[in-house]
Amino acid sequence: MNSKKINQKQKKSFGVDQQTAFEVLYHPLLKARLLDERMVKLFNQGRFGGTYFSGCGQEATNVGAGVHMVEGDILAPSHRQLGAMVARGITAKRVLAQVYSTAESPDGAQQHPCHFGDPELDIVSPTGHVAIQVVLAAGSAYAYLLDAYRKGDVKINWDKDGIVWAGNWTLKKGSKLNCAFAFFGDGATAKGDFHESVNFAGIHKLPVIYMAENNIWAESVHVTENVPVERLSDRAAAYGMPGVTVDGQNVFEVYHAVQEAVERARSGGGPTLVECLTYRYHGHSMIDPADYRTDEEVEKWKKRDPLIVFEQVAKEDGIWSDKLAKETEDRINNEIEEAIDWVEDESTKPKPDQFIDVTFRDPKFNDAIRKRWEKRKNV
Amino acid sequence: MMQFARDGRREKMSSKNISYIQAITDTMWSEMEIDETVFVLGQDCGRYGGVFKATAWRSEKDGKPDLSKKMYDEFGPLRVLDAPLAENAIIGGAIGAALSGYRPIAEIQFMDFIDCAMGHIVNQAGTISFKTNGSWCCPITIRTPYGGGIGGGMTHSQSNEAWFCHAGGLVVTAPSTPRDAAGLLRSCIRADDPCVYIEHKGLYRAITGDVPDDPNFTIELGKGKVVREGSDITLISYGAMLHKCLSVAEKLESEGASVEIIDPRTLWPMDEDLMINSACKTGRCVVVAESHAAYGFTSEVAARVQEGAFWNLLTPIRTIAGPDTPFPFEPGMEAAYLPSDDEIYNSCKRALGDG
Ligand SMILES: Cc1ncc(C[n+]2csc(CCOP(=O)(O)OP(=O)(O)O)c2C)c(N)n1
Ligand SMILES: [Mg+2]
Repeated sequence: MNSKKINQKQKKSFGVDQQTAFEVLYHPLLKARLLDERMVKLFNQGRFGGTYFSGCGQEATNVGAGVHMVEGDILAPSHRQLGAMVARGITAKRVLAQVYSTAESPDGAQQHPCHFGDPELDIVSPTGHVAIQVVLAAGSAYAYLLDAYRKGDVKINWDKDGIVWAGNWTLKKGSKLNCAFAFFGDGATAKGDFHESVNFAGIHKLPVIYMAENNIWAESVHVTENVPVERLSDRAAAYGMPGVTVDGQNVFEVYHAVQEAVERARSGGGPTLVECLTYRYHGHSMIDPADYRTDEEVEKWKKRDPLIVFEQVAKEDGIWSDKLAKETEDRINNEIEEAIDWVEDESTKPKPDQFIDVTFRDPKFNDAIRKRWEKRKNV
Repeated sequence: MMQFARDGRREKMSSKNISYIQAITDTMWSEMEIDETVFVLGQDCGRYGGVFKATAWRSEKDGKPDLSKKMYDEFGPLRVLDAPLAENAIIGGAIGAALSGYRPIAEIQFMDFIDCAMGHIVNQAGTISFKTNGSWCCPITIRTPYGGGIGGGMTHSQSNEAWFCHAGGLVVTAPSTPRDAAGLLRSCIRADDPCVYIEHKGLYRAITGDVPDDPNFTIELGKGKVVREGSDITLISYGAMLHKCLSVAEKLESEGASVEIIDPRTLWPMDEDLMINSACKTGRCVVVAESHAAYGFTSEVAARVQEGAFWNLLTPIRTIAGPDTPFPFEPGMEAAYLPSDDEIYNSCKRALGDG
């Protein structure tokens, strides 16, 4: 790496200026936290059903990556990625509409809270199947490679016998690829889907950012019971891609590491596996008392809360501002309060009541299903 | 292309006599020419042209494959991708590409191995429209060879189509002739819904037929076909079993019974009315498939036809299906496993009240 970057590393904020720090990083960080804590409360008050997976504690990991997404990049989340979605620009209203299953829900209220996306922002609505989204990201990234290939920006480098190319290609100078962002937990890396995805992306140097959120637990299963190596990032070597482990509580560090990965991927350098050491404060879902872990462990991690770390680093590097922090918080609180008033009102209105019409895209297939449905209803 | 005679009536379209597998290759080839977003991925699909050679050679004017150039040579390694040995990567990858603007055709080398990618097919592809409230679609086509009769043994012979019909959100098609193979495949590729397109591997080179030489020739998904008209009994089947039904019908016809045969062509969503109307007309119905009986095609069709045609039925609906066991290898057992002409014939005779 060049010397400029090494110099920046001496600062824990990696040379991020004050405006960027607050606008780009602090705002989504705090918004994800405040919205998340609010939804935990709302769930406990019985304001919405199903269950809820809180991402509290993991915001820096999510935000540090999510803010690098641009138009056309796909976000393939799992069940705990509110932070990444907020960083991508999802509004509190869209989130709450989904969680409350109102008519305005981005998924038409077909999915339960936390398995949701936003088609308008290229955020995939995940299945409940852990790790499946990881493969999807590789496929989207393959599409980005094809996009460039169709434009004539990709040169294939055949082997000396002219038989095999094995993902050996070069991107025309100046051409840029879209990136796919896959988020998944430590537990998910035990699944075959993870392996098939990183293997595929490794072979073809696909522009994927693999965000492994190592929060120590997969429900009640400890990371050492899911993963045989100490560092998830060590696995990257087996797939021909760089792997890094970062402090997932320091948004600056995640931001910087992902920036490097994204620059590499967009310019044709292939995928990166970014392991973020992080922690979830609440149980796996709202029904999990999390009695498999110690209070000391939770307290230890809370001392390194992403918001505390942000403040510490920003102060050390002279970019903290009480005024900006306060302004940001007020702005977010306004958005959330307004969104809650709105959604509470929305939820008194008629709820979505059709699911047959969206099962297939071709209306005649839905009609075929509806025929039997009506027969059942009209007996 | 379609041509019109001076008097405005349509002239007979030019067509080619080609094999079932050739119809599949030619259709993919022509769709890849027409639409840059169509691409093929699967194990051995590229350089090798597929283990059955479905992604190898386009046909020449005489219908024989043009061996000078493979699909891989024509479209390059990125559009005819030699995928790793990883069914999740193939299907999951295809889905991701579809969400990013492509129309991938993913080949699963044998339908027996499709279970490896079940989560992706059923809970990802099959739910994209649903879980985005209809704002996204997942235009993938999964091609896969199914069926027994070629000595494939337990894991190269299965007919697992019911799994996907049962899923809710997938289109499942099963062409039985070269013409249908071409028309249905093109419809699947162009459809915005995820399609599972199953190819009976026993038919690949066993049958030939005329296929319109028209790059826009499609067959509507969800529509079955009366492949033989008759008035005494309705036989419903697809794939290799349909061809057995056709030969049984000849025999019955020579004995004075008039047999109607229906090919559903699309297994899901199914053309229920076509089958019910036929059963109402003939009053007798036999359903044949080599897939398992339990919760399978034959049971489903029998239930629906029974409900719709009950008051017109003269005899109980009969079903002939593969036994609910794994698929045996030993040639004698394999032959016994698959519904035979005799069984179909006897079942029809019983339905006709003769024995
Ligand atoms: C295929 C599959 N198996 C099991 C589950 C049940 N399950 C949901 S989340 C989870 C643990 C996930 O752990 P991890 O990947 O570490 O993510 P985290 O919850 O820690 O963010 C399990 C076992 C599931 N949803 N999907
Ligand atoms: Mg975990």
